[in-house]
Amino acid sequence: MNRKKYETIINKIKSDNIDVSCRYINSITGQVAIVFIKQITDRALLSQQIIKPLVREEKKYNLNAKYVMDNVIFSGECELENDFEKVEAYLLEGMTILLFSNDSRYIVANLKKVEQRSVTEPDITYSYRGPKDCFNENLDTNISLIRYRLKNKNFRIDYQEVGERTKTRVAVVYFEDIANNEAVKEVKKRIDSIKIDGIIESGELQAFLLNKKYNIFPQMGIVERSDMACGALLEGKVIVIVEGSGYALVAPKVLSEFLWSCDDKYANKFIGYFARFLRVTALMLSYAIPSMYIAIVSFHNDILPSDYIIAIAQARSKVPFNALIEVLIIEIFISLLIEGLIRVPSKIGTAIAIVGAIIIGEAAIAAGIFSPLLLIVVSISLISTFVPSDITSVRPFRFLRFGLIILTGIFGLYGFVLGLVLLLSQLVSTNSFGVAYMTPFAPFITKDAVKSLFYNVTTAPRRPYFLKTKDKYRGKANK
Amino acid sequence: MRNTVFILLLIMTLLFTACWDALDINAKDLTTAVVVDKIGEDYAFIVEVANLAPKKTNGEKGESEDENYSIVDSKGKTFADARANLDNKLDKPIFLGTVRMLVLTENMAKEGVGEYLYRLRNLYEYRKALNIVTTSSDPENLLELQKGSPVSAGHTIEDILNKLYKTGNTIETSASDALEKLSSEHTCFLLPDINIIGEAIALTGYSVIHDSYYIDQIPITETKGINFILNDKVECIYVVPFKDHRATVDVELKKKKITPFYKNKKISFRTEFELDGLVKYLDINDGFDEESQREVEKNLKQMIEKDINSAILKSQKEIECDYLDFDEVFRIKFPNEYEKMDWYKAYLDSYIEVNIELELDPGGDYDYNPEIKR
Repeated sequence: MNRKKYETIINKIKSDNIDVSCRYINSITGQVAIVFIKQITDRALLSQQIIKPLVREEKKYNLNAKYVMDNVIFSGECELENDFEKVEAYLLEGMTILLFSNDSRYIVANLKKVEQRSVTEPDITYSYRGPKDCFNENLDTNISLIRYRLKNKNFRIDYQEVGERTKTRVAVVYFEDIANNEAVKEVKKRIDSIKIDGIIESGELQAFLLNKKYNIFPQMGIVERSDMACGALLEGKVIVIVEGSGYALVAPKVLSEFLWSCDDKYANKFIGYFARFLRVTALMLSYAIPSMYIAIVSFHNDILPSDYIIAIAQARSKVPFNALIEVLIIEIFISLLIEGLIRVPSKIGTAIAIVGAIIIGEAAIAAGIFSPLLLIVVSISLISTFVPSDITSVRPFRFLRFGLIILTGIFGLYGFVLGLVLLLSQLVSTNSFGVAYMTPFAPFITKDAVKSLFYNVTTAPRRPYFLKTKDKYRGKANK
Repeated sequence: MRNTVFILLLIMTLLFTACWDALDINAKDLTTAVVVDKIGEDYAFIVEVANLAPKKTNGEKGESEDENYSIVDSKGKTFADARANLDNKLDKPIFLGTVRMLVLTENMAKEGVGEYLYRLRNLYEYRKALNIVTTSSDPENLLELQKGSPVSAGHTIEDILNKLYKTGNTIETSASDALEKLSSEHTCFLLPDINIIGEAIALTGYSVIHDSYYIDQIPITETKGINFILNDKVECIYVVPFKDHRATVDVELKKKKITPFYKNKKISFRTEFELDGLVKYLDINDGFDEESQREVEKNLKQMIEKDINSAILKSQKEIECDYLDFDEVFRIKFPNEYEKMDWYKAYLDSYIEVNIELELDPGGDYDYNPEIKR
């Protein structure tokens, strides 16, 4: 490369206004330009590993790219490149570029440094027994948290890029000898087909990976904790980690798996079985109990023994609304309260919670706006909402609950059953990357169905049938 | 096209089957007891309705007390008139799903229980497990006994019957039982009789209903034998005399078997009762030797046998009606013969053998009569 072309390239980089910094070092045969974006470059390393050795060597030898890379700089990750069209892209990725006035090649060195949070405790998937390290926004950190647990040569990480402008790195992680090939291909294919200028969080990527755009149920799980990610990989799942997101995605994932918790594996198995039973019950309660209240109070009073009927009627004797309006008002109020509590700082949240509790619990009952029984019903429903371990699985049920309430309020038990039928038909017609969402119950796979309720690593030597994994057993001894 | 058909079907189903009669539970008058009476030519309903917001009234001692239940009555030339008059008095639609007890007065029962029970069959709100009793007391007084109490008269009567039924000391006749009996050709059954004793509600015996009409009364003192025959589990107390003393014995029916026979156009039954007895109390400090035990056992056996025989005798010779349900066991074993015979007459002439097997536990931890201690 002649001096003129060298200068043209540097001028072009500067004129593109991508906030680059340049450091020039003159040698006896020409000039070396070190180009980098200072905000995403580790400048201490840059001085130590590149500038300092170059300055020492400048007067001695003919500095060309090959020689410098092999003999001068100390950078651990660097390569030679000759396509000058890629220079800007490398710079935007955080690479440091070494251009030579007397060489048609240049060096790309990785001295990238992005400020990141430390590895902290989980925010949404608490466990009383499991490890506490969870993902942060740095892709490499996240992968390192998985890699140190899985020391196996078949562990694969395939990188893809999403977003024309953000060029977000997405890592598809799986075990080559366990995960179902079709699932891996499907995940990669869908990521490849995303046409968007940028994604910032894994939730956005998840939206693009949905089977049906109008399906409300999550077809991928979210993983916050590295131990859960490793567990999923050993099960034969595919993990998708997005640069800049603290939540990885896991696929395929069926409804029953949303009700599992890592504590079920770590704690005593019988306690785990009981906890799982509680979660299934909680899911049903959170969805159905307010509607059942309406059906009983407004339509089918004689479902209950007469003593209860009189007690309920006495509790409602001052309430001015019918049951449907009463339930809708309190459900909307509680939804407002939850939405408010999620978005505000914890100190203000406490105040909101107290005000909400006093208004609902004390004043509303004293004023006869709500019956105490309804408050109990709604409280049970609300508590049940938080019992399942994966909050993303419950939110659709909580949302659909409003539909069930209205259907029941208009049509009674008929509407209630209709709501359940519509929900079930939606659930059975959903699939997660080729696996039916209601598996192992619809289609029914006996062994998996039993395991979904009574799973423990000691009692299930086989991986779930429905995942169609390559390696069907958990360890050679179990084959 | 398929979607259109599906949506049309859904809309039609919603329109034609949905529950458009929604009415909140507190917008109804919840009835806990219904009394049906016949006063002269008129039919009368007296209902006990729960006050959802209890009224404050002045009690007997002038203190303010909650009136949890109100009593509303109505009369009419027919049941329909009486019901219409009742509806005119109530501020909300009546709800019968909470009725715990249907009380038929003796006058009403004499007039016939069939008509009202057939109406009840078509009133879908009534629970068919609802118990039916008779009374000869004034019905309003009966219901008002519980005024001011948190427990309704309907619940009180039901609680009394349930408690006694658990130990086999009464029978229970539900609306569905009574309707089943009324639907058969030979209708004879018992209804518990409830009355005011002192200032309380109490079981006073059984009313005999024959062909839907009240025909007789069996006092509570004569119901032990009936309970042994009709109930599968009976626990009762006998005070057994021996050697100028008395032993109080808990008797429990363990097993019962009634076997019908039909030979030479003669019906007979062999009834076998296996009982356990436990001596609970004695009126002597010592001396309950083996001889005394044998005597107690012998006497107790005779007393139980006498009770059962008396019950059978009363049914066959005095009241002349099979309210002891012997027809059921006979019909199961000899269905063709039963169809051809006149069971009323055949039952009255049948021979019923009573066999008692008693195992007496002399106990040992006696609570002696305090008079002797003194």
